[in-house]
Amino acid sequence: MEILGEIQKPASIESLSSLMGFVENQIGMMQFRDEHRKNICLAVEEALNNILYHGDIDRGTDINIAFKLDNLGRFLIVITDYGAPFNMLLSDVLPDEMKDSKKDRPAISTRIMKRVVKDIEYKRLENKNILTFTIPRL
Amino acid sequence: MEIDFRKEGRAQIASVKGRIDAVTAPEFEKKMLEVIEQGERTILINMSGLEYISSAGLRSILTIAKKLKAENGEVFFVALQGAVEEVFKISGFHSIFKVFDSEKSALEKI
Repeated sequence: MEILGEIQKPASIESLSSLMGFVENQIGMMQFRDEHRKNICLAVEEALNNILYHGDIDRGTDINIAFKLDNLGRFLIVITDYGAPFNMLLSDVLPDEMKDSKKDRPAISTRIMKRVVKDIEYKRLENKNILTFTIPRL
Repeated sequence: MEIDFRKEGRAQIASVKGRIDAVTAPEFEKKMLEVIEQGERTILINMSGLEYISSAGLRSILTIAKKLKAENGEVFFVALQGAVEEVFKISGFHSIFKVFDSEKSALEKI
């Protein structure tokens, strides 16, 4: 697994601009058509919005984004945060009785994210939320 | 992100170019709210030059629409393209708001 680029910033709304600048720069280097690059960028932005606006993140912790290339030649975008367990992939599929108002709100972001990138995985590991986008080479 | 404003009849037309994302959405929202503060009540947002919108932009649109509704006004959308139209459809905005193919057809109907 090769790491193509990585950024770590405080988990706060103020970091969004620099995180997205990094993401756009990394995605800009991928050999994809423009529409596909926009979709990947949109999916990552929606994930960051979910984490920073709706996740139960601990102030003073960081958020990490890593762009990787796996052995099959696929791009992996891995977003790691240190907040409470938060599987945003469920926010648009949970029945209403299982939602609270805070968790209900990211549904649109999640719906957009899932529509534009098909392979997204959530893992809770060592007190970290790890969201991985797998982007096949076209 | 750039917005050009012009008046056409009773409608204030805002032509948006570039991206409305988490970084630019606050500026977009601020400029649109200023126009409402100045007394405009019928706002037509031309999105033919908009390349990208995320949920942050959708949230700003909801804020603008809510403000206009409180003032007995309304916002309309024109010429959504590609990815922007897709985001509108995914989020259900197509059924919440009136969307037109062109400024001409919008101005005839509003």
